[in-house]
Order: sequence, then structure tokens, then C-alpha cells
Amino acid sequence: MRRLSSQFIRTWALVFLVLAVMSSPLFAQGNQAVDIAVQRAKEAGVPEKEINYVLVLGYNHHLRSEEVTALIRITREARAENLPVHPLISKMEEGLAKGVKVQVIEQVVRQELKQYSFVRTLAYRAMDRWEVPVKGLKNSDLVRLAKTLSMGISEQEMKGFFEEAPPTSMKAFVNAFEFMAAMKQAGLSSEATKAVVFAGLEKGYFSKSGLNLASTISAAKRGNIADHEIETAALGVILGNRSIQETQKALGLEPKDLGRAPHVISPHGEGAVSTEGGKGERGGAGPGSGEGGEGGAGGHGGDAPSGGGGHGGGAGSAGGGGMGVGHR
Amino acid sequence: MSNRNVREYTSEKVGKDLRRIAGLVAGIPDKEPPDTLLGSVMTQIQPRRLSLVKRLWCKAHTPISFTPLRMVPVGAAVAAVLVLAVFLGRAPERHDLPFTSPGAEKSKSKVFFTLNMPYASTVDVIGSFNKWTPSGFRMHWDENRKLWVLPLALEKGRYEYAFLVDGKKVVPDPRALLHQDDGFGNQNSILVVEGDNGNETAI
Repeated sequence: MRRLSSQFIRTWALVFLVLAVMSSPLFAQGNQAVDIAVQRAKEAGVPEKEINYVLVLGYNHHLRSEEVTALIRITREARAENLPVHPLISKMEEGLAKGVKVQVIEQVVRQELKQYSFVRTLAYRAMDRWEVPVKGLKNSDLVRLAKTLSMGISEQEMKGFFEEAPPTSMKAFVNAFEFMAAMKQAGLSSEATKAVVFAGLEKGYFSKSGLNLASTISAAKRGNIADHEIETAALGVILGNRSIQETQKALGLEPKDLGRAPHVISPHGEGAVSTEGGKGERGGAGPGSGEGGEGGAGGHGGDAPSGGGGHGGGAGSAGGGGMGVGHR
Repeated sequence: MSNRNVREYTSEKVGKDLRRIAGLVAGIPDKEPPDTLLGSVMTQIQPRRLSLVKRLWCKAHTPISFTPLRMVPVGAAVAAVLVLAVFLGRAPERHDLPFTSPGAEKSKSKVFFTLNMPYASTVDVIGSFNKWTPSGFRMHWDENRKLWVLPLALEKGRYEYAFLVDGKKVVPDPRALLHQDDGFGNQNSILVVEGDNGNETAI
């Protein structure tokens, strides 16, 4: 009975506390501001799901009402310009999870919004020139292109590339840009990069991700192979004269040189396979490479349709050994 | 003395006593009570006022009696507030992580995250696939390979990720092919899992 009584008192104390907080003018004002922001965002066409997501983020991270209002306002602005909203919310989420101040998040997200706008303008111009309907620009492609601006590609470079590039699909263009960013990060000269990327666009090489070729080039750069040699080897792959594994061999690259992380094993139980559609890169290093983790390339290779070279990665992981996680 | 005589004697004696008592009562002077009597009696019998603490204590120990029907509005109000408190207090709904759905396991690729950082005390993987929250994504130290390791099942897609070292330092994957400035002063690594025709690309 004593416990019941004290529970009763506590419950009523909680009731009064909640009522007192809810009836305070500050609470009411804050809520009103958020309400207005939500209402305006809805009117601008921001999906309710996205608005709710921002509200939940605000609640999860104990944001003040003016901070929530600021974030909702950005979604409204994005929607008003017909730019994708969800990636911006993801960026907000990332910043909040990393403990970044909301003011900084706001700046970063606004910068991202500007990049979307910039990329869209370039893309529309290029599509107009290529006589491709502008409806063909998917939000996902727009966002991926914009993200390459955070991967070391400058706006000026992007602009020049859009103006000079041969007509192609936007998907191929996006793949080419990511490839270019990878080349830049690997340290390949801009001339060599441009030559390889333009050749790839002309030959339709980037209809699929070119990142396995990029990985090979990156390994070659780490191995201090000269840029002109790398360029020649890469052009050989693009023109269909050589498979990737032949190119790797020609460049003197060992499986351990090619290991990159994280290692991926497909749901079919095969090793992570090349997207290059090559002729079966090395894939057998997995099972036996054991503790040293030097079986880095175990799962990278493989002919996509057959998956013949890809078993290494899967077996390697089962054995607790070479999962393609070799370290230097 | 016969019985009859005894009865007559007793009856006569009782009658005498009664008359004497009646005479004594009639002789008592008729006095009024003092004016202060009522007040002093009431003061004596008035309950003492307890201190606030004692009153609360007594209240807390007194069983509460109530009429159920009268308590309906109060009960409804309390229930509403409790529901509100529970609603506000419970963890907000988060979107299910794509790799937590057992039904979709077959379509997922296994991704092995590794980091060579022996001096770290703890390493977590954070990324767009787990909403950048480290909870439940702690890597384990593989003594044989001297690596931090975490396998995850991921749907095809493009992901950004990084490692959270010792719970505070955000570190990109040094062995990833592609990195991206996160705008907050750190680098994210890029991972692409492609599911078409079993093709996979880890950047």
C-alpha cells in the first residue's frame, strides 16, 4: 500500500511536470515555429515521410525547436527547386550521428544543395547537346555526380568534362566520373586520366562500373609504375585487347597488390567478381591464404557470368583465412 | 418474624429513604456553570494540527477510498498522460536496417570490413547502411590476422562508411579505392555492392 501511494504521488508529480512544461510559453512558441515550418514544407511538396524523419532526428538528437525548424526549412528549399530531398536528410543524419553542430550541418547541407543545382544545370546542358530528354536525369545519378565534387573533382573540371565529353548515357557518365575521381585519388596524371576516360566513354566501357579497372590502375600507381605505361595498359582493357587479369600480369601486379577493402562476397556464394566482364581474374587465393591475410585478391576476380574465378573469397572466409583482407 | 412482616418493614424503610433523598436534592442550591467551561472543554478536545510532513506521511499511509464512477474523468486524464509519457519516452521508430531482415538474406552480399589498427581499443563500423550509429557494429580483433574484422550482409547499393576508433575518432578505410570528403572535417570511404548478375564491386 505504501508503494502504491508513493507511486500515485510520483505519477501525479509527472503529470504536473508534463503539463507545466507543455503549458510554458517557450514550449508553445517552439512548437509553433516547428508547426509552421512543417506546414510550409508540406505545402512546398516535401513528402510527409521525409518531414517526419527530420522530426524524429530532432527528437533523437535532442535538437532545439529552432534547429529542427532550420533543417525542415532546407528540405522545403530543396523541394521548391525540385532537387532531391532524401540525400540531404541523410547528410543531416550523418552529421548529427557524428556529433556535428546543427549550424555546421546546415552549412554543409546547403553546400550540397548548391552542388546539386550546379550539376543539374551542367547535365541539362549536356543532355540538350546530346539530344537526350532531360527527364532522363535520375536523382540518383544527379547525387552521385554531385558527390564526385567531394572526391577531388573541381567544379571547373566537371564543367569542362561535360562540355567536351562525347554523347553518352547519364549512367555511363556517372560511372566515368567516379572512375575519374578514383584515378585522381590514385594519383594518375590528369592527361592520362582524361585519355582513359574519354576512350572509355567512346567505347561504351562505362555502361558498367569501371571500378575494377580503377582498382588495377590504383595498384599499379602504388607499385610506382609510370603513368604512360598504366595509360597504355588501361586503354588495352577498354579497347578490348586485353582482359583485366592479363593487364595485371603485364603490369607485374600480384594478388596481394590488388587486395582492397572491404571484401565482398556475392549472395550466390561466389567470390566477389569483376564488373568488367573479363575472363576470370584470379580468384583462388582465398582458401589457402590463411592467417597472413595476403589473399587479398581472392574474391576480386572472376568472370561475371560463370563466376569461375570467384570462389576464393567465399571459401577463404569460411576457413577464417584469406578473405581478401591482406594488409601491408 | 414472618415473611409478611419482613416485606412490610422493607417497603416502609425504602419509602423513608426516598423521601429523605428527595428532601436533600431539593435542598441543593441551583448554580449556573461558569462561562469559560464550554471553551475550555472544546480546547481540550480539539484535534492538534500536524506538521506538513506528518500530514503528508499520514496521507500516504491512508488507504484511498473512491467511488469508481467519480474517478472516470480523473482516470481518463491519468491514462492519457501516461500514454503520452510512454509515447514520448519510448525510442522513436527507426527504419529497419536493410540487413536485419532475415527474409532478404538470400539477396544480400557478405561484406568483410577490416582495419589494421592494432593500437585501437575499440573499432566500430559506421556508415550509411547503419545510419552512422555504431551500436551493434563493433569489430572484433582477429588475433591471427592482427586485424579488426566485421562481416555484414548488405543489399546491393552504394554506401559510405568509416571506422569509429575508440568511440571518437572517425577514420576512413585506408584500403578503400575511393574516399569522399564528408564536409564535417572527415573522410568517408565508398563501397559499391552491385547485385546484378552476381557482380560485386567493393571500391
